[in-house]
Amino acid sequence: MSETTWKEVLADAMDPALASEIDAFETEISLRRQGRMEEKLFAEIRLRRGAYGQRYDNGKRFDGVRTQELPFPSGDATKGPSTLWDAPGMQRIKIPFGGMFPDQMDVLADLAEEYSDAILHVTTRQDIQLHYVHIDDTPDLMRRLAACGITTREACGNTVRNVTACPYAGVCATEPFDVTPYARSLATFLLGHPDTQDFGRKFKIAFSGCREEACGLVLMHDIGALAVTRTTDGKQERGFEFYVGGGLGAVPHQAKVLLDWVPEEELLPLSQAVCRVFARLGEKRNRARARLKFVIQKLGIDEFRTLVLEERKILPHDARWTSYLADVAAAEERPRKDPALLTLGSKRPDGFDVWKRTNIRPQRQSGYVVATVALPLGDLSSSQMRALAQVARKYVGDNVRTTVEQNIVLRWVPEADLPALYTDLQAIGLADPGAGTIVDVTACPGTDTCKLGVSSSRGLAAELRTDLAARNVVADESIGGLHIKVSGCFNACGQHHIADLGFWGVQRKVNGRTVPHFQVVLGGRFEDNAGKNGLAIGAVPSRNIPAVVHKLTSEYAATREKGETFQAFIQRTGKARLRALLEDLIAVPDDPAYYSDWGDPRTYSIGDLGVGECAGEVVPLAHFGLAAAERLVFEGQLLLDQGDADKAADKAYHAMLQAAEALTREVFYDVGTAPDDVVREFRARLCDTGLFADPFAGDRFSPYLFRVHGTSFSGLTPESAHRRIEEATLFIEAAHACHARMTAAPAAA
Amino acid sequence: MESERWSVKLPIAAPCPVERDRFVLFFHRLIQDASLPELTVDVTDYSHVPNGPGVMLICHEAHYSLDTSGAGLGLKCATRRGAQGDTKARIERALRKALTLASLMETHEVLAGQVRFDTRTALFAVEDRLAAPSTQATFNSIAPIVATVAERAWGAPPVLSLASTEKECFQIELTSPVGPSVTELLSRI
Repeated sequence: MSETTWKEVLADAMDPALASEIDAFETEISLRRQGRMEEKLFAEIRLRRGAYGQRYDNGKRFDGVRTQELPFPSGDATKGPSTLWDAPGMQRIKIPFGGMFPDQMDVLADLAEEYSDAILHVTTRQDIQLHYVHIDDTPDLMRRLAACGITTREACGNTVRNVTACPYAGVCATEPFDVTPYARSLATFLLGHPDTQDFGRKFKIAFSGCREEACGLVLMHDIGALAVTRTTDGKQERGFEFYVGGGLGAVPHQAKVLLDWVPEEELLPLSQAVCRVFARLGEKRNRARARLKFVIQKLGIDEFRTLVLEERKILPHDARWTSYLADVAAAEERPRKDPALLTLGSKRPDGFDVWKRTNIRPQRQSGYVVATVALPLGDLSSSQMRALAQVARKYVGDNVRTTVEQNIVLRWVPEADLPALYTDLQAIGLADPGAGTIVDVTACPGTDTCKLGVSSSRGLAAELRTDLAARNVVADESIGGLHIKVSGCFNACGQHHIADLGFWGVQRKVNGRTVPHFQVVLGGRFEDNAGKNGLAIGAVPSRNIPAVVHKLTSEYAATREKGETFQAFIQRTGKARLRALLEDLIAVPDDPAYYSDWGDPRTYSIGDLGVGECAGEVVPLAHFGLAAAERLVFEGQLLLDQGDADKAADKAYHAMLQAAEALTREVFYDVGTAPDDVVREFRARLCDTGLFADPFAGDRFSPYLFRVHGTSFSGLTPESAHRRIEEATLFIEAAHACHARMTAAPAAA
Repeated sequence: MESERWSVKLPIAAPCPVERDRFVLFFHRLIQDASLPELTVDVTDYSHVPNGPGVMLICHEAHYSLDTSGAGLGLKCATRRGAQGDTKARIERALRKALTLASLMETHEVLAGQVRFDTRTALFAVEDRLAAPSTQATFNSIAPIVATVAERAWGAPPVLSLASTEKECFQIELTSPVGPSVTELLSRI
């Protein structure tokens, strides 16, 4: 068998910066394993690499009779608060705007097979998630992704999450222009940007091309950019209607218009300014009120706008704000094949017409269509993903995207190829009809794998999908197009607020026993970019939810007025009447089935709930910098052990530089990263002011940095390098002490 | 470099009348009763995914799935952690784990004797493209070791063939002229 490592094999295939980040993460794993990094800090570091906790990772699981301890071999070792080292975790993989190409799909398939459970899960924010992944496997997993141009950086944690966009961008008939290059550029610009590293909570961005479609759901995002154009002096200009402060969660907020016209060249700097204001004013202690929406609620949109525009004025210029614009036209997708129309005489396989009716959408470009691969519960197997990559190569090349409805779309399919495409998809079990209809139920992971899940969202979604498909409701014109979305708890990862029929998991005590329920949320609107949030009308036992759906849709089909939407029907009927309609389904009958959840025969319990990691850990920004400095010192030690004294000393120097930068940023945010700048500002703002000096011992340690700054490291002896490492260690300890003094509460007078 | 990730798939004789829900219950019962000699973690159900892993029992050292991919329904044991020793020891470990669960499936009250294994074939795989790329060279180096393990377990020389394409993980299909019981196989390794 091979004796090499992925790090060696892929060394030339990875972007050097990304490779270096992954090496650093591997070192951090090692430091945490040795107990040399604090668990809360490591938790946030791994979250920022997309490595998330999973249900039962506290080492306890209710088996239906009693709660069992899970005695993992690593014992009490943890990778975060109450999160055991060996416990399987989830790896989230960012797919900006959902765009991926066949070679990447192959790699994703391989990773799911080798490190996960051979299943790839498409999320409601166009990510891919792998479950049951061991933390020790994540560096190689990340290297293999990096080698095909994918990063997991900032997929979780208090960061800018995956930037999403309408999956039809670029091929849609009603959009003013393709938002794809803008989404890509903003995602790249903000990834790892210093201004996005000190948030109190996560931050989500979406792009839409059309106002009336569901599109990118901009109204439920922290930043939402809706493409618009205007004509000035006879010339058409591109820009965005710029929304801020949207979000679902327990308390949904619709985004507000920050500016109704943001020219394309202002998109990146304005977003950066919003991030800066959020980092500065966002809540850091109360996690429940730390999203941007609460900042705007508190300040009001006008005051927030003023602050953002003031921040924009003082932003240091960055060439990246506009450098990508020259390439926007060149970013257009290229079809794999020439266009061709489907003719009436074309041979159509069995089931083709039903599939075509729901899963095919015409493109703006004549002769091409978008085909949706409907994934049950957002899942597909490794072998299906690999086979789908082959199908993509055959018909559409690189033009594949994930969707927020947890599906995959193939863009630029020549219409004449549809029967053959359908046959090929059927052969790999991916030709289900009903994409985007009432049977295409969206669900978060819920109690299957999420620590916060209260009820089985996936179990319910699977049951509804089966039940509705069996009743062939898709064919019913009035209800076939409704949207059902299910969340396992109030956090709304299943986006239940914006569904026609939304459900979120709760529990009720009945006769001394706990019964899984779902709150029924009605009247939300998926279209118009998540145009309206619905309201809960009451909790119903989980087992009765299919009957709820049947009753409400039947009532709508039977009583709706001509052209009346479901939202209008809900409005006209009224909550009281709707609640009365469901009254007989609210009671829990004397039936043992009601005491277990869908797809899970265990007696229902909420004993498995854990502390979620959606909110990440709030760690002061300086701690990240100081932790990075410690990692560099550790790497210097390893280099010294390998006999490379020069490189070891260089690492020690950079460790001090990193610590100085982290500390200086606390008093002067725009310190920059250039060594000369860091040293100059550190000297002026911390040494000359006496801040760095110990109250008793004085400043013994800053000279360690000043002495080596600007020198080259060559021909050093091991003893000399050893001394540098010791000095760097002391310097970092002094930096920690300094930071503690700077952040300590003032003594009482 | 020896791989952690060996897998063995044992075909379940068709037809198998057991419903999905019954398999889910069976795995939950194994956890409740601590029936397997290893750390069990959870049960997950992917039976909505065609040709996929179906119902799974997640353990710390291995993932067990009622896999429906390829030739049909079978019990697959994919080892993930805790392997030791040389290649032969790792193959034996994966096979032993698969057979241990297979034995429980044939005898457990929840499944009521409705599951039988067809042991005339089996699929061995290394889910590790770095250690074992799907090539003839890998087959040439690994097949003799699989043959040694299989001949002892099955009691007859097996026929082995490379069963994977270049993109798939490395797989060896075993065909045997004899079909010993699961109990017999387990007693010989």
